[in-house]
Amino acid sequence: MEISSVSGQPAQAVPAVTATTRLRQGRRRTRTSGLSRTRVRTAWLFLAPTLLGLAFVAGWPLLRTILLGFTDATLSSTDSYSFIGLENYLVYDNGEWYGLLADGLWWHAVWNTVYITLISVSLETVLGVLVALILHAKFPGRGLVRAAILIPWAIPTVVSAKMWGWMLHDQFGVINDLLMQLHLISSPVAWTVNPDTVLGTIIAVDVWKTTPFMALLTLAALQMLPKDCYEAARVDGIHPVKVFFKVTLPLIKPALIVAVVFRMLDALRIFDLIYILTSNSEDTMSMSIYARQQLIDFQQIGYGSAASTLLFLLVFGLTLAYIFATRLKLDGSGEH
Amino acid sequence: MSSIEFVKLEKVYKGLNEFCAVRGVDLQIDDGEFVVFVGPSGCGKSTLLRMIAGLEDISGGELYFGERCVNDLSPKERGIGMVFQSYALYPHMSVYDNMAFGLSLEKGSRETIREKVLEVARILQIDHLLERKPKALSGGQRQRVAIGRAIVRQPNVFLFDEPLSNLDASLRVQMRIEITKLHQKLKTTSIYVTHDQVEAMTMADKIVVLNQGRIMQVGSPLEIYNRPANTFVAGFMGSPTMNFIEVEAMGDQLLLQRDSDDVAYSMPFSHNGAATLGIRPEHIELQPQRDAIPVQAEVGVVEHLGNETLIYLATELCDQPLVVACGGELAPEIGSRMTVYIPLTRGHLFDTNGDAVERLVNPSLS
Amino acid sequence: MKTLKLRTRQVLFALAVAALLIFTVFPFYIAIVTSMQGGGEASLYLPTGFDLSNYVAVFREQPFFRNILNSALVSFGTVAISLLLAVTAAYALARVHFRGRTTLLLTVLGVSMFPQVAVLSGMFELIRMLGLYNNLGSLVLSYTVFSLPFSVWILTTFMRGIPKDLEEAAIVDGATPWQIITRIFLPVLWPALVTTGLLAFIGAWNEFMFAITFILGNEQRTVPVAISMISGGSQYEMPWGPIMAASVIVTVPLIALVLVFQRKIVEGLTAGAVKG
Repeated sequence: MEISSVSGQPAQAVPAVTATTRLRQGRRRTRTSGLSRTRVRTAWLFLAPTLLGLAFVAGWPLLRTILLGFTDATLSSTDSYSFIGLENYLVYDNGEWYGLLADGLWWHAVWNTVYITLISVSLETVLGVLVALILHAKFPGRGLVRAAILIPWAIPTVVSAKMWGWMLHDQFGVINDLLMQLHLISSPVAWTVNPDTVLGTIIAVDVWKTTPFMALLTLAALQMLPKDCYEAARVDGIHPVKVFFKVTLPLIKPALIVAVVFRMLDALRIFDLIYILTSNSEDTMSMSIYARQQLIDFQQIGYGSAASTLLFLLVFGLTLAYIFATRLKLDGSGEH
Repeated sequence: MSSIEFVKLEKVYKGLNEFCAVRGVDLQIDDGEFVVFVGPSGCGKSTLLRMIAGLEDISGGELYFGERCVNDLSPKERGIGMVFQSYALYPHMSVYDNMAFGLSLEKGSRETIREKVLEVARILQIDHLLERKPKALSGGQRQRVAIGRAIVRQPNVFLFDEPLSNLDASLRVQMRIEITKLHQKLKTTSIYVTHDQVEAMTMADKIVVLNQGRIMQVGSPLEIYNRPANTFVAGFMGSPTMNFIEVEAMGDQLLLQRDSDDVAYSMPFSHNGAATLGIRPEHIELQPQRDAIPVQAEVGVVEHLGNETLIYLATELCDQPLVVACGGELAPEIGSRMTVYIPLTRGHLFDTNGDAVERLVNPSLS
Repeated sequence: MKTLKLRTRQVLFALAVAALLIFTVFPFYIAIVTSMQGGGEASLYLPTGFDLSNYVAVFREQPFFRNILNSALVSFGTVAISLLLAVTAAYALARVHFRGRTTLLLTVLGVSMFPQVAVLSGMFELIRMLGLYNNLGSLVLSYTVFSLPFSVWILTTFMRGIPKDLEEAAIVDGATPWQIITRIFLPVLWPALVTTGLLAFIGAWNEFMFAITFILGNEQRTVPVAISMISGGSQYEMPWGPIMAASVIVTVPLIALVLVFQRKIVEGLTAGAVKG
């Protein structure tokens, strides 16, 4: 090896270039070297199974559903169907409007779904924040209570629906019994049948089931808050309720908004609860129920797929809108 | 064992603003040398180290280990061992497993692996810690395990990325000596990155001073200290920092920019035009000297370090206080006036670009 | 004066906690009470005795044990495959810089927003094409894919938290990406794996729409569907006793799971949202 000392000459800023170095002129290489290219290739390899799975089992069926929405396929004839364009959606025939958009039941289902979503999520948020505040405080048995509130979330919706269905039973249900004993009602109410109460019942059970989720998300946000704000507020002697509205709430708003949006998109797809609790009731039919009824019960694959597509578009549209809104806010702060 | 050579090495980060972290660096490192990369934060020394390691892509230029161009080789293929600033020990593995990990990935027998690990553990005096997990170790012990992990694979090149910066002061001194002794024993080519100039001065065979992606100077510690190539190196190395005074040069005569006199002083440099005179605090004399510039000054701040005293003087030579380092027994009063003497033979001259002007060998000056 | 205020606050707080607990646990309590009634007059609030005839009826009237087994098979299968796929995907998304990474992550997450009914007809076709109709494999397939989004999301979040130099040390030691994942990351990440596994398990266990659409026979049914199908002698009479018994049977292990792993579950649920 050539022993060349670069420090031979004093006071030189440019290091001496040896004879051998002169022979190798620095080549301008491509920007990404082989190392990171291999790494990126490995990354794509690792992602492949997941992406393929998602594409085939989620993406393709979705496309199929959208496609079938333009056909008159039925369950028994899924191979022989014809393309009918937008007829499932809306068509004028013999002086009458037919199709999804003209179906009163569909719009009833849309209305039910939106109503349930809005009321349910609002209640869940308010109650969730309250529960989170309770759980945020330190008290003996806190861990147990926290575990306990997970229970409604963890058990199958079917089971929740059955349990509540039993509690709300018009003859043997404890709810009616309690309310009558408290003289709040004079005779038993058929909660799951009576058109006036049935929507509220669904909302109540949904709130029972999902408040823990909202509570937990809010609790996590609360636990990440800096404690010094509160200590300063305590030193200043500010009333806790005011502290909540002026300090806590604004600080957890970002997390809350995420939770609310997430929950709303989820609530629009409501199915299990309604199916079990009030199965054939038109008054509580959600969009998912309507679609599935068309698909499976009535075997109208084309029509049902169109309904499913509309629901998908609604959720997709709202998701995009949300991403857009948050991206606009995030613009400029980079991607990492 | 291997020598290393950089040819026009370059690193560019692409993104919103293209950032050139390393610009056209050329360097030759000999086999077995202990080279220290030193410089302020953001100067590119860590980036350069990581490019050598293979953890960062090389945007331009070539890197040679011996005769091999290693640009496209993985870290393992390059045969490097690396000690990270935060040690990066595998938290779920024992010390033994940490050190054996690299070897266990190659197809070695359990016995050979065990032999190698035990030997390294003995050298580093951590053989009694082999069963422990990293969280049960002190900082210094973790440091040793990290070094052990790098040594055990017998790499061609050791890379150290500011390994001592997480240790407290006394431990740092101890580990410094240990690393130096280790190097004397193993004689592996090593590149050591630090922002601490004391580590650079004490450990290096060769120091590479970096600033903003460029090499400012390469040389032995004493060369860097006594013959800095530019104002950056002069100001970076040495604590307290060198004093810089704006002057006017005419041939071998120096003119200070002050009103009180028009005296020209003979200097061992030949230059024309504006220049910067540099003088280290420890070279400024308190007694009159032949061919030394007398400076009237007022004492501003006095720092007693015990072994020396630092006096910050307000002078008319420059706006910055003139820093003088003298014996620890001296205790001048704040506000008192004193005269100090700048011997030009110990001074440095830098042109307007900041580059050093060559010192003349002149028998007339002592 | 101050202690009175403090006391009232404490009492109110205790009442709130009690109300919370009652609100949460009451339905379950009623279910237990009901399940232990024999036929005949039912006392609403307190158990009349320790009558297990409803529980026996559950297992007698339908192949409930088989149903539980089916659910278990499907859930464990889902968890195993889902974790495997999610871990590798998360490594790619969390540790490697490549173009379109964020878009990809958002797309994966977007899949979790699909209304199940929107893929139902397409999936029905797919299942029939693969010959998986009335086969538990159809459920494993669908649950795995639909649990991938949140699994990938949670694991990516946790993987991002692993210090970079740990991975670099492994690279310097000569580990391939697969070795890095299996020998370095997984041992460090195992709490996150437990969490993800739990969430995937609960999700798979509780799923209803696909289970009722893709599975036809009683023997192949999973638990949620089986419970929904428990019917009584006449058309109008619901055998509430056995239904509640079945509910209790299913709920108890889940509650145990939740009680033991509550911290992990909470971590998982919140990891995505808070960091997202």
